[in-house]
Order: sequence, then structure tokens, then C-alpha cells
Amino acid sequence: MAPTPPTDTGTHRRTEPIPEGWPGNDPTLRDEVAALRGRRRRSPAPPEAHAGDEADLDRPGGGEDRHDHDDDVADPSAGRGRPDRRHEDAHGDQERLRHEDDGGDDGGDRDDAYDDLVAGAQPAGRVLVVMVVALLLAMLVNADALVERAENRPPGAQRDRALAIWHPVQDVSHVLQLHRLRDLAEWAAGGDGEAPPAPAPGRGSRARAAADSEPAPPGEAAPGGDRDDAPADGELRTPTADEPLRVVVAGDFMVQALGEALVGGSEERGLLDTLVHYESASGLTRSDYYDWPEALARDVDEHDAEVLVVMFGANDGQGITLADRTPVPTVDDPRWLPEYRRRVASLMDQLRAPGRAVVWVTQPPMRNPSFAAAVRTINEAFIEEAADRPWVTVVEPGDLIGAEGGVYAENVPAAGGGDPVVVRQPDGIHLTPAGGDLLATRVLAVIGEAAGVDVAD
Amino acid sequence: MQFPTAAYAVFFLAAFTVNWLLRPHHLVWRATMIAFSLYFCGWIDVRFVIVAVGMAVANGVLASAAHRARHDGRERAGSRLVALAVAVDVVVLGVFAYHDFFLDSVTGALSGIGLSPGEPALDLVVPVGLSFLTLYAIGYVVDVGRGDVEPVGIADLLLYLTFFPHLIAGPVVRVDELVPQFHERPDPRRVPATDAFALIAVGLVKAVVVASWLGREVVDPAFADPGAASGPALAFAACAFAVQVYAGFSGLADIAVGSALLLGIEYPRAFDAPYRSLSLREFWVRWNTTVSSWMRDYVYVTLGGNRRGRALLYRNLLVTMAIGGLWYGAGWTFLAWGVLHGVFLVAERVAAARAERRADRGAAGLPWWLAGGLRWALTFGLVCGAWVVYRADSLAAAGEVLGRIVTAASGSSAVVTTPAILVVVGALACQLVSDHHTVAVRARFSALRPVAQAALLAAGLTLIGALGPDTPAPFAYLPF
Repeated sequence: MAPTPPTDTGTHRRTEPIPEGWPGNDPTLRDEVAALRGRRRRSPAPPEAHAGDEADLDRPGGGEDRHDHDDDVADPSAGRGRPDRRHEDAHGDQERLRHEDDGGDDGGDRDDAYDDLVAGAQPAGRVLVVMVVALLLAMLVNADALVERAENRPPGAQRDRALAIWHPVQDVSHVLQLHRLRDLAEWAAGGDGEAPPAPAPGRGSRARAAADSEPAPPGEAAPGGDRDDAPADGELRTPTADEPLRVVVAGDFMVQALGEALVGGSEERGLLDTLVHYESASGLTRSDYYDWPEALARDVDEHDAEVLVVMFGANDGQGITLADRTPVPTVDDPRWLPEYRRRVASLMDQLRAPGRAVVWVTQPPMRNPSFAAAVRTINEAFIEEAADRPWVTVVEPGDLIGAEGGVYAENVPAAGGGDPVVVRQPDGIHLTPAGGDLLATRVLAVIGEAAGVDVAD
Repeated sequence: MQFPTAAYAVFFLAAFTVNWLLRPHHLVWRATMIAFSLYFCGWIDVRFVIVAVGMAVANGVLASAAHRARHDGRERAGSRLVALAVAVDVVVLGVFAYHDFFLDSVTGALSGIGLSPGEPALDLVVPVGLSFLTLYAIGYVVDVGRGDVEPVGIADLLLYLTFFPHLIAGPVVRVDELVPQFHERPDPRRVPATDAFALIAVGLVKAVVVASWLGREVVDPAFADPGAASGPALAFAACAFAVQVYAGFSGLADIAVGSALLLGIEYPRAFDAPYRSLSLREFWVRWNTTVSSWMRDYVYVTLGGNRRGRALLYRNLLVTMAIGGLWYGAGWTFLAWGVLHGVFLVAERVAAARAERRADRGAAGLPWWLAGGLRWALTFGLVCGAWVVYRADSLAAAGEVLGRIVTAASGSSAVVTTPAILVVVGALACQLVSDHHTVAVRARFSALRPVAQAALLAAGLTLIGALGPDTPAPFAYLPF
């Protein structure tokens, strides 16, 4: 039962040298390699003549004359007896270089040294160190992307595990500022990475699309009247181009498409001065990861917000920790929903202020059935808590970004007929820019209704 | 588990460490590598573990029985056992990989005559890697049946079939090439790290960056709505798909070969610059070489090869290529792609014979450079045309794309952008780059300190990540 002996047990096999004039036969290469070996080339060797080179060049792949027997499908020499080693060509070159280098009389030690140099032969322990250090560095540099990729997974244990691993890595990356290297790489690659000079606060993005005028400084009387005459909770003043409404759009990664569309859909009229702030992998369940109540308080304070457009829940279908530090692992647990509702209610109350409206956007339907069920539970929490709070208007995108009955749909019919509009990205979660546009149109209508003027372009 | 993921990186680090620590203790090493490989199988699909172990046992038992029968002079019994083993392998592959294809075809045929069959009773998921595992198993049992190799032990066979580097994208290695390496003890002080890192890095660039980008920016939009695109734009998309499918296949194979090299196992090269080819025969020598040579040895030769006259040779070529097409994917388009290449190969043989007779009569030919250019253009054009059939959702869609390439002068050319042209032309130009171009670069990398090597590798991974897609599913075009 012994296996057939191999046809060749050597590490690398040699083949004929590469032809003269063929790329790679660069005379300077000999000097470079000799220098790397710490030795000078002793004497220039005359170029060698290789019979048959022309024929080989004329017929790459070895020519067709070899295909006389049963060889129509593939080269008969291929695939047998450890053939066609990856580095045969290189070794053909190496062999001649060695010959020239050493006067052709050197022993196997130098051959091995040459092989080892080019192949990078190193002890396994050292290779392990190189790989571990490289992967650790790469993980730290790419932590944001890894978190984003993890949160794009369908909800479940794998997603939770991935996020549990990558969140701490991301924290270390941010402390060491290594994530900026990834931003730099994306910027260099022409992607949507932030340009390196622009600081990237937190894990997501916070960008302000100002109308023509600067907002009034915090604490200053709201335009349109002094504080004594300020409208009640949830009521908005009528904005003008000189005194636009100050809007904060905030939430998880779903806010990216919404925020961009909202800014783009209102900039011509200039009646809104909008700050967009989204944080990937964030939500209301993991305040240890990102504390939204605190962040929103800061945003509201800095921007003196009159309108809050918030969207949470896409990352909230995971475990939550009760006030007494008891972990509740799943949304199905009966203790989960009361705690989540408590947090939602608390945030709604925190955002309440005279002359300020809160527009709470629920999550659109999701493709993954279990994720969709969790999102429905979360959305119901938003709707029920908002019912008793007149300053909160709920926008449900289910019928807008989905099929009839609030069912997930990748495409929706175009408003004026024609080709359907693709509203969801292939992951079944994120919105496309077109989906963001649709959602923004509805949010702008709600703001316009509260302000008594059409704010959309 | 896909290659370009953090999960695979962690898995491989563990496998690498254990591999070199246990290599001196062969039995423990082999058991551990089997465990790693089965874990890898299970990560793909837990049921795949059962299938893999079952196939190893069945093929091992039947191959040993066939060997004994042959040894005892019962040639016919040996042949029957080999045929049985091959049938088992084909049935397993058929049940998993071609179940939907058969059902859809039967349902379509019955609907065509007014019958309405019910919903299919089975809902099977094709375990990724089963196609390669089947090639390994059939190759082994046929080699034993032919007396080319001695049977190996069941543990060796299980490791041979499931060794994780080759499970997803090959290459296909024969038992006498791989199993002896399991018994060797490579020098742990001389791991060819630079060669392996270079293979993995190039593989990642090809599979993650080039293939994904071309698919997203050029191929998918063009094939999604071919009626809107102009003929030249569709022709460009076909060229882009040629590059995409090569980059995807060969990139994964490079990663597999590089991973194995780090473990002290050598695989042959799977792709050898196929788009340099000046003929279809040469294309099939350079394209997925190990699979092509498998098809030659186990299908074409079994059918009779070129030993029974010209007509049967042509038939054998067509049948081999049709089976090859079906191996690449379960669908009529893949079958048509294989048959198309079979027809090309037959036509090329006929044309070559005529050209030879003309040359014998002393007729003047074209200058070598012009003839070479024309042959390259014709070969590449035919290959791209066949890729359209491979890529299209249906034969009708393939016909529409090919028809518009020829007839539609007007239409959208949105997919023909400067970056896309640069990527396609650059990728084709890279086919001219050979290993010996990079000797100095590899030597310089090898001379660096470990920390510098690690930093360079991390920078490379970051750049690849930045250039790659956001979602880790760039290989959707791989049908198996």
C-alpha cells in the first residue's frame, strides 16, 4: 500500500535558460542580485547561445509539434510528476546567473543560497512572526472596514461574534490613529475614503451641509422671534433663506444615504442648514460602544438644532444589558423589549425642547427573515413610544422602500412609470442613493409640513 | 470560508504553526492536517464533511479492491470496480451539483408538452469544492485501476482529497504528486516565504480587486441590459469578462498554491498566461492546465483519444469539451460553452491540416508577425465570444449579446470608461510578465528585516482592501 515514489522530490526543478533578449535577461540584474548576496560579480560572462530559442519564441507554450498523441486538451507534460514548477523560469535564469557569478565552479551551497535568497527561504518561526505582525497591522489599519463588513452580515451569532472581535480592534486602531492609513489608502485609490487632512470624528462621519448663512451661535435666540414667543414642543418656526432651520440628521449607517439625499434635496431652496452624523455599527443597545444620547446632546448643543431626524435600529437586533448589568442575549428575550423601549423613551424625552421637532425614521423592511422580525419589533418600540410624545413624528418607510404591505423589495416602481427603482443594496440592508432619495423626500415633506413651507427643492 | 477573509487568515496561521511543529511526527501531523481540512470543509458546509469522508472511504475501498483484482489477474472485475467507483463519484456530484439543472430541464420539457410537475422534493445546496474533490477521487481510482499508482492508505487518501488549499479552486494534483509530499519532511529552516507571499498577494489583487471591479463596473451592467448597450460596448464587456474570469480563477488558484507552499507542499501552476495563446489548442494548454490535463487523461483518452481515426478524434474532442463545460457549471450555457470550444478545436485542426497541405505545395504564407497577430486576434476573439455564452443567463441572452456585438452600432457605451480600458489592457499586458521579471524584486524583499516585510505585507493588504469591494462576495461568477 505504499504510494508510488514521486518523480521528483527536489524543491525546485531547473529548466533550460531563458532565451537571449527575452525580458528578464537584464544584465543589470546580475549586479543587483550579486550585490544582494554581498559579493561582486567576478567577471562578465559572454552571452550564451541557445539553440531552439527562436522556435520557442515563435510558438509560446512549447509549440504544437508536441501535440501528436492524445494531447488536444492540454499539454501532456502538464500536471504530471510535479511538473512546471512555479519558479522554473526564474530558476533557468538563476542557473545561468549563478554560473556567471561563480565562474561555474561553485558548489551546491552557493546554489542553495541563491535559491533561498530569491525564494525568500526563511525559518518557519520567522515566517510565522512576519505573518502574525503583518496581519495584526493589517487588522488595526483596516479595523473600520472590518467592522463595517461585520455589520453588513445578516443578524445572528456570527455577526455578533464578528462585531465582538472587531470592535475592540477598532478601538485600539482609533487610539493609535492607524485607521487613518486606511483612509489614506482609500483616498489614494480614488474611493470614498475621507481625504487624510479631514479629521474623521468617531467611527462614522459627521458632516455639515450649511445653507448660505452660518447658523446662529448656540444659545442665541432662535430666529423668527424671541424665546418667549417660541413655538411649543414639536412646532417649528417658518424658515427663510437667511435664517434656515438648523437640522441634525443622526443615527446608524442607514443615515448615510438618507442624510446625503436630504442635503442634496434641500440645498437649492436653502431653507435647511443640515448636520449629518452617522456612526457605523452603532445604535441604542450598545452604549459601551457608542453613546448616542451623549453624542446627540453634543450635536444638538453645537448646532442648536431645531429639527432632529434620527434613524436607529439597524444594529440593534443584538443583546442588551439591563440597568442592573444583567446581559440579555437576544431580542426574543422578554426582558429585551422593555429595556429597549426605556432607552428609546429616554432619548425622545432628552430631545424634547420648545420649537424643536423630532422626526424618527423607522427601519425599512429587511430581506433576511430573522433580521426582518427583529427590525419589526424595534420599529414597534419606536412607534409606541412616539405615540405619547407629540414632538416626535414617526416616518415609516415600509411602503416607500418596499413592496405592498411593508414587505422587503429590492426594486420599487418608479413614480412616473418606467424602469423600477433599485432602492436596496445587494446585502438586503443598506439603501441605495435612490432609496435614500425616496426616504428623504418623505422626511422633507414632514419637516415642510411642520414648518409651514416647502423645504424640498 | 473564502480565501480573502480574516477568518481564513486566522485559520491559516493556526494551520501553519501546527504544520511545522508536528511535521517531524508524521502520524500526528497527518491526523491534524485531516482535522484542519475537515474543519475547512465543515466551514463551507457541515454536510460536506460527511460527503468528503464518504467519498474517501468508498473510493479507497473500491480502488483497493480493484487493485487486488488486477493483481490476481481478474482484469475485468477490476475494471468493473473502477467503473463502480467512478459512477458513485459522478452520482454524488450529480445529486448535489446538477440536481437543480436536471430538475429545471425536466420541468421545462414537461411543461412544454402540457404537463405540470410539482415542486421539487429536494432542496440541496452545492458544497463549494465538491467539483474538485470529485476530480481528485476519479483521478485516483482510475490511476489505481490502470496500474499507474499503488493504492494509498485511507488516511492519506482522505488528506489527499480534502487538503484545504486546493479544495476551493484547485489546482488538481495527482495522487502520485501530492501523497509522497505528505511523507516527506521539508526543511523547516527554508520555507520559501517570498515566493508564497508573492503568489498570495498577486492572487488577492487578481481575485479581489481586478475581478470584482471589472464585474461591478463593466460586465454586470452590460450583461444586465444588453439591449441598451452598443455593439462595441458589449464587445468590450466580453473582453472584460475574459479578464474577470481569468483573474478570479487564477487568483484563487495562486492563493491556494501560495498557501500550500508555506506549508511545505508544492502544487503545479494552474494558469499560464492563457491570453497569450495563438491558437485554441494553446489556450487549452495554458488555461486551467491541471483541470484540462485531467480532462485529457481521464475523459479524452478513455474515449479513445486520437487512436481510432479522424472522425472519432473529433467526436472525442467534442464530448470531452462538453463534459468540461458541464464541470465548470450546471447549465445549458456552460454546456454550450464547452461544445463551442470543442467545435473551435475541431475546426482549428481541420484548418491546420489544410494550411499544412498548402505549405507543402509551396504556397507563400503571410509574414510571421502578421500571421502571429492575426492568429492571436482570432484566438482571443473566439475565446471572448465563447465567454459571452458562459456569462449569459441563458442561451437566448447569449444570442442577443452576440447579435448586438455584430449589428448594434448605436447604444450606450457607458461601461467603456478610461479606467476600465486601462484595467483590461493592463491585465492583458500582464500576461507577458514572467516570473523572471520579478527576480530582483523578490530578492530585495527577501533581504528585508522581518518587521519591514510585515509592514510591506500589511500595506499591500490595506491597499487591496481599499481597492476591493465592500462585501466579501467577489466570486459569484464561479459556478461551482
